[in-house]
Amino acid sequence: MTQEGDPTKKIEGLDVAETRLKHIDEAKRKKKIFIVKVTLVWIGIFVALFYVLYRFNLDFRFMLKYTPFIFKGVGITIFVSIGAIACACILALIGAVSRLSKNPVLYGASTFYVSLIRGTPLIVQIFVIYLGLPQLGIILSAIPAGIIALSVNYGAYMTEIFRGGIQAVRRGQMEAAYSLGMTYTQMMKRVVLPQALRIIIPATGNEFIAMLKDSSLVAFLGVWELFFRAQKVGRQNFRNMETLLIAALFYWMVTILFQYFQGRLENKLAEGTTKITGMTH
Amino acid sequence: MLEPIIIIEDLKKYFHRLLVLDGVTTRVQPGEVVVIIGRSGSGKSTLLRCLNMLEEPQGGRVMIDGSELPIGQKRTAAVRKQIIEIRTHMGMVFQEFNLFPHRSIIENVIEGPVIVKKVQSEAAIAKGEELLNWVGLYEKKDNYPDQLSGGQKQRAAIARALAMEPRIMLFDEPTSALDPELIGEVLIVMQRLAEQGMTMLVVTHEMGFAREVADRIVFLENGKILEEGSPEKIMDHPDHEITQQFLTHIR
Repeated sequence: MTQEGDPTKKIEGLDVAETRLKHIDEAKRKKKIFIVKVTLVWIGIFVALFYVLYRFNLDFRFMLKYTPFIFKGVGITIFVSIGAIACACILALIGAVSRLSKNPVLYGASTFYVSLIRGTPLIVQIFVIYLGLPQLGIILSAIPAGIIALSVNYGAYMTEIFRGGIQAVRRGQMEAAYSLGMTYTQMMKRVVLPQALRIIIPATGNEFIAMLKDSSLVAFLGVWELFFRAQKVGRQNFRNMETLLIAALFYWMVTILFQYFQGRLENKLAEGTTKITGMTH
Repeated sequence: MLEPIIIIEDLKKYFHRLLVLDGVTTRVQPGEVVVIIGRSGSGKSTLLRCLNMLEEPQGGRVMIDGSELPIGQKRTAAVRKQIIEIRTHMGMVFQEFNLFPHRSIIENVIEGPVIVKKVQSEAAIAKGEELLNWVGLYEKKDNYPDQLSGGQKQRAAIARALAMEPRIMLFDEPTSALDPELIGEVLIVMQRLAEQGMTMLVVTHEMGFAREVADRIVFLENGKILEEGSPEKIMDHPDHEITQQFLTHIR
């Protein structure tokens, strides 16, 4: 039954194409079902949450009335966090280079700094600054004090991040730079640090998102950020739960926003490389 | 006889307690191509890396192009400057290429001249493009290293080293990390460089290259030069049994 262009082969070709399409449709279907299931889980969690909140007997009109006042703290929170992370980056760069240096002063000072600051709670450091600086004759207004406290604290943690990023750059890069006749500074600036940033930037993004919440502690220095305002209104009106929930909601929203930005930044940085995605088997 | 461009006397190097170089002594004439062979662990890479102070020897004397290497001296600012000066007159090509991944090929090539020798960008780019053309990579000048094959990467690395106008080129197993079919294109560039009169020290297992291009083969064993001589001498009738055994293994 053979004609020209063997028909059995043509039909086989169609079969292969059809099976491939079937597989693609099947995969799409499974993904849609998964998304629906996850959404149901979230809806369930929200329902449970709302029930719990209902049991708290919240005064929603009160919450609505003071939301604008509390919301004004969001700007200050973000401002303080950005300021502090920037200063922390500078401290971290100095710290990391010192940690890797053979100079005893630099090495000794940086290891001590990292150990002390990572070994004490942030809240304790904030209170030491609050109570201690005036005794040394240093009077700072609230926001600078807050930024300093957060930078010093995060600088210690980020020193290790920067150090890890630098040490992840392959040794051959350093050797190539030196054989061309570069100085240590030229090598770090032009060869090592640009490559270290691939690790440092995503990690710093994570630190920033953490700092958004840690910034709440500078309320104790008198900064009128998000948590401070929530506390103020809450205590004045004996309605702490309401105001804290509002503050919590704002922190959450800001975090989600910046996590989205960070995701986009990471995708941009990963251009031209292949990332590990979830494989469960 | 011309003044040697490299004089190595009794060079010693320890890695912790391991004696890697045990008194290496030899001389290299300007324009000479010296191929260094030996078993792994014999110290050949270390020898090369001592010459531009990527490794610090513990003993001996080295003269590079009239300058004495500051072996064992404290790294003051003056000493560091001296080391940089010596390095700018030597080029090194690595087994792992070590191109700067965040820079394009032409940017890699001009990095040395612009940053270290403070050459103007335009002049460096012109010279760089000439060099890339010479190694056959002109079309790839705006590509990034990860877009190149191994052989292309190594040729780019050679161009980068040559951009500094060195008087001596050091090659540390330049083809060992390459797929076999890519080795040839790199060896051809190295041969052309030799024909132009460059002083070259090459650590390699490519005996075909050694026979064709080398003026002298040095056989390193246990951190010492066991024997050295012309390619015909070393490869066809070496003095030592060990040399013969080694050559049989890598043929």
